[in-house]
Amino acid sequence: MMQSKRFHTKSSVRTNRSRTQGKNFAQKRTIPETSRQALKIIPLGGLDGVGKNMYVLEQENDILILDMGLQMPGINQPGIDYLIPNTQYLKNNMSKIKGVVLTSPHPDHIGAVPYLLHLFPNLHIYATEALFAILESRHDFYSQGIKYKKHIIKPYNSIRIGSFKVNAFPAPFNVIGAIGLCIYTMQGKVFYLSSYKLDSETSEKSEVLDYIKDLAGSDAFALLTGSVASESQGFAPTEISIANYIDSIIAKNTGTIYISTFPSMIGRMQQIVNAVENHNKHLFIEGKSLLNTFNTCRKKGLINIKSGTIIGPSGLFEVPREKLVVLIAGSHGDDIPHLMRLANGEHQVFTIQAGDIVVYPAALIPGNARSVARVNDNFAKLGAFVEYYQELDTRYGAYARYEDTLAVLKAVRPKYYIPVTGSHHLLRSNGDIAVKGGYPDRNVVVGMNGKVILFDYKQRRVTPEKVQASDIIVDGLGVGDLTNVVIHDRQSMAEEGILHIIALVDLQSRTMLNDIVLESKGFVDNESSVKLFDEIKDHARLIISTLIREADEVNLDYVKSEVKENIARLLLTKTERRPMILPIIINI
Amino acid sequence: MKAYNNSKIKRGTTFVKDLSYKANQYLNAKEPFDTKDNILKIIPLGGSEEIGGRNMTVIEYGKDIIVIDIGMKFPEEDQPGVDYIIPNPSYLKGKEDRIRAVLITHGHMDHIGGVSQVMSMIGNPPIYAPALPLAMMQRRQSEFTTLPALNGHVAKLNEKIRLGVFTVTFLHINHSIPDSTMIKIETPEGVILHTGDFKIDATPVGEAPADLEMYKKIGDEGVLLLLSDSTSASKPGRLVSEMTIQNNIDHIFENATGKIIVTTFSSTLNRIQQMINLSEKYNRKVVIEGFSMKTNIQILHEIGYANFSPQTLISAQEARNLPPENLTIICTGAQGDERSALTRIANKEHRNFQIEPGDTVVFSSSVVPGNEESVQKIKDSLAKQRANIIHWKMMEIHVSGHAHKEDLKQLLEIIRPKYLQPIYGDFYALKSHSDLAQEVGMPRENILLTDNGRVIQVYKGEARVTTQKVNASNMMVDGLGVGDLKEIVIRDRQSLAQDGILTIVSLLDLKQGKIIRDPEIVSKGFVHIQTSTKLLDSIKEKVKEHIEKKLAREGQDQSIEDIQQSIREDLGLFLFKTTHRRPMIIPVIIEI
Repeated sequence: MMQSKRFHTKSSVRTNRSRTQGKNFAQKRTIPETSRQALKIIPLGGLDGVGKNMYVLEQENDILILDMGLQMPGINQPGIDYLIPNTQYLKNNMSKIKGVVLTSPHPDHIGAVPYLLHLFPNLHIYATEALFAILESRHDFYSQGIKYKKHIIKPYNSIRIGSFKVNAFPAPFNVIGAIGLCIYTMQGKVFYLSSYKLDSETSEKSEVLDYIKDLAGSDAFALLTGSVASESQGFAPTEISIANYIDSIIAKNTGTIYISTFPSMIGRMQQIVNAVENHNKHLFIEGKSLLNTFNTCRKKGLINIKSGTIIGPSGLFEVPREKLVVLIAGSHGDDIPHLMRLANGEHQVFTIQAGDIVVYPAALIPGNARSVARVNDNFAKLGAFVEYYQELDTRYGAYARYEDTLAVLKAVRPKYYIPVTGSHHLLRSNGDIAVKGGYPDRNVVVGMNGKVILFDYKQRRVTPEKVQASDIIVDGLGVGDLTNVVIHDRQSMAEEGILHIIALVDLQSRTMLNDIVLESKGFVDNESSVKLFDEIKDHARLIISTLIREADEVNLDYVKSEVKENIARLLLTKTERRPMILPIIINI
Repeated sequence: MKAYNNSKIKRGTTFVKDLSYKANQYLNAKEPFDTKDNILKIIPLGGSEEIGGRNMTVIEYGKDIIVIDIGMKFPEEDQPGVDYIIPNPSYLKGKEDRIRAVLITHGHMDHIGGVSQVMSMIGNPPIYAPALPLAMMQRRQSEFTTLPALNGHVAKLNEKIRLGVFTVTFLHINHSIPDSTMIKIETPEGVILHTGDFKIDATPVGEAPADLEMYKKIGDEGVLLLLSDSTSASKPGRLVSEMTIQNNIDHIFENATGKIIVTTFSSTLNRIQQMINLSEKYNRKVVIEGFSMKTNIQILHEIGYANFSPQTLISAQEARNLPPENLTIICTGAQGDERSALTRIANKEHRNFQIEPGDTVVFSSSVVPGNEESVQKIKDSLAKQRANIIHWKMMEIHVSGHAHKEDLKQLLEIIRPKYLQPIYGDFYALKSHSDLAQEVGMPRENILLTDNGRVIQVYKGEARVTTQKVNASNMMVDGLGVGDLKEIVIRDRQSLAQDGILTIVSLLDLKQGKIIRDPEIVSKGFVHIQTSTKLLDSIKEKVKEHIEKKLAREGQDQSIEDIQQSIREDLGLFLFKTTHRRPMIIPVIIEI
């Protein structure tokens, strides 16, 4: 970040000089002068992995924000809860913010809303009624005293947000409440479709596609589309095929069926309800946020269910095992992870019996494929049969694939194509779809978080301008207070452990008091390494006592670094391990 | 600022509880046979109920013991900092003179990787292996200068070897490395067939298909027990043939304009030879990058297994003068490991090669679960440099060496064993194998599900999974130490990675019951020290107060451990309240 700041000042100096001297000096690297019609698209998150979507559209004095998502941490970021997009740029331009449009009820689109509302109180939020229902069922903003201005968007209608006009249309997506946008900017029409699929095996006869085509006309300016599944060939699986699959599982009669899904997938819940009713079974919902969302949506008429399908805790044991379907929460949201408890044989109410069937999307298990394997393993040990169906996963079943993307591209026919939502190689393979479709390379913009994409005079203008976009880390109660140093320390301690060397010295008499105390964790087994520890103590004592005796003026920091270096060398030769060494020398 | 509190949910693998204490129940274990007669015993010391790992099976009858494979396993993410894990041979301690031989099915590290360390622990018995794995083991042995040379013998295919009461025969089968074998073991109780790793492929590339007629004959003669590879038992259908892969890769070679970089496991030697042959076809020279891959290719040459012209392989320096369309680089790094050749090329740190737009990078390997993220990173930086990336999910350019569900059914129908013991894989895989065997009509009670260390007994034609277990714990190799890493050390490393550590050193004057000076605080991986002075000050205050109160209240004669324990609890609660993190707390109290 420091670097880019320095870069800015330098380049502005150059601009001045080039103007006064009338020379075309280093023109390429300067931030171009822009007209009042210029449009900036600034991705603050979403271009380095799947998650924390947040894109800023800026023209003149108006900023429109698209989505506010969070991202789950990777395995090399031990112990942290979430990542959210950097907000420094928005803080600096607070007065320009006209509002935020939320386009999908998944955490990677709305997860950072509670955090950001603290920073930007009274923010104008635009979303569909269903999305607000989900957002509010998951966060109790009211009791926390968080206020915002609620604006309900209706698909196929248009609204005005600052100087932007926004047209919404339903994203053909398996999540109720998800929308795509057509934003009228001063440069032209910008389409935004981050999470979507066509939900059809052909691109013909789609109501939404026709609508998009009409909106786009012949002069769409830019199209931003999600890239999560653009490496996969063909069309994304249709909801009908997924519903049929769910039905075929719920039809099985060998035992209780445990099925799990994301609390934001209302459409999926409806499919489960339909299948349960179809086979005259009963549904029990286990998990606070699942139940909250379910009830809210039921009240608002977003889920249709017959009375008697749902049973409460009291009726649970009157239903025969093979007539029971349990919709059970995984680890998304602030739920108790019921699914994991079930896998561990530790659930208070439910115990797996031979013949039971478990179906869940792998993304509900924290960690990676290895953790999923272990959960499956445990279910197998308990006697259950695990149905694995990757289309249930949002990642595989819910995102546009090659053909979906191509169909949208053909409907919009924008001048510029901007892949969003995905790590770099996914963005690139999304971009390649356009290139293969005949787009010249320079009209396909594969961006980076924080890098400003500038359009002026209906052209893209390359600019070195960058804004802060490093991740904000949420860990425990702290937001953004974990620096990379801390994370790095965690990693290196996890690799080889830590060793404290504690010594008391008296600098007046230049002697060492007491014995050296060693505290080690995660390095070697303390009980069986007495000999090694004695050796370390001897070594450290020798170094410290020599240094404090012989120096003219004792510098404890120097003594510490000498101890650190020498002991590290000793341990490397003795054990070939490199624990973190922390000398603590106290002067009395 | 208020935030979510999901600190109860542990990420990574730590939240999954180990259910192995219920093993007797879910394995249907029975009491051992009550007899003084000789019993045939089969004991998996590694490779059952685990993935990709340290395979080792002991077969014992009376005074005779044979061992099949000694592999190694790479650590999982909840075993940070461990180099690798080998089987624990402590069951064989004191029985060294009864071990007739160690038999090796093929040359993959999960079957030979533990040989160097374990052989010297079990008295260095004779070791029988086909030529390639034997050469690979001997090469590896020479890297450990302190260990004795192996007593190695080349096992010829279809030739009987007498080992005490046992007669063993090595049989050709297809896998992903040349010289892969199944081993037929004739015992006094009947014939055991050990599959090793295998697949069934009617049209393999570069080697003959397995002789299924011969296997059928073995089945006709009667097989008591089949120990069969379960690695891919949960995968539906049949494995794709190598010929299909060959055609797809041929297509890639045909259309590539820049240089081609292929990355795969260094031990899938069949695939590597295939790539070299294709390069020859399309007039490309080949550079092999990566130490282990180079060594393996060199061994192939030495034992005369290489089926390509030696002129095809050139050094990296020579390659610099070649136009990109005449160059193939085959390298390690398919799993995204930090030091591999591909990683260095992708990060622009490689001495000789860099990515130019239009280069093609082929990931001809699956991603080992757990490595997804590092592979992702490599792909990202390759894409940034505008390489065309082709990986196994986009096109069939890789196939594993392990039989799928329908293939396993086919083998069962060919062999028709009385008993089946699924080996290799976690319990989910073993159970899937058991389920498919029941689909072809094997009764459940004839399928022997086991975990590591479990003793399987066969007596008068009846096999039993018994409740008896021998030590089969992990032997972790970390740096120079073999097996000296205890679980507690690993657990400490895990919790250090979660929320870091906080050490408080207090000097205590026991006579006056007072703390001398402020406590000293050192913390790593918990909070950023420079910006958290307030928190640290309040910790100091808290600790000082706590110790003095405790001393005043309970007198001088309490032990230091007591004080430490109460600091740990009190401070732990305080830190959780203020930060919602749980660092490891180490109170050090020094009496003066």
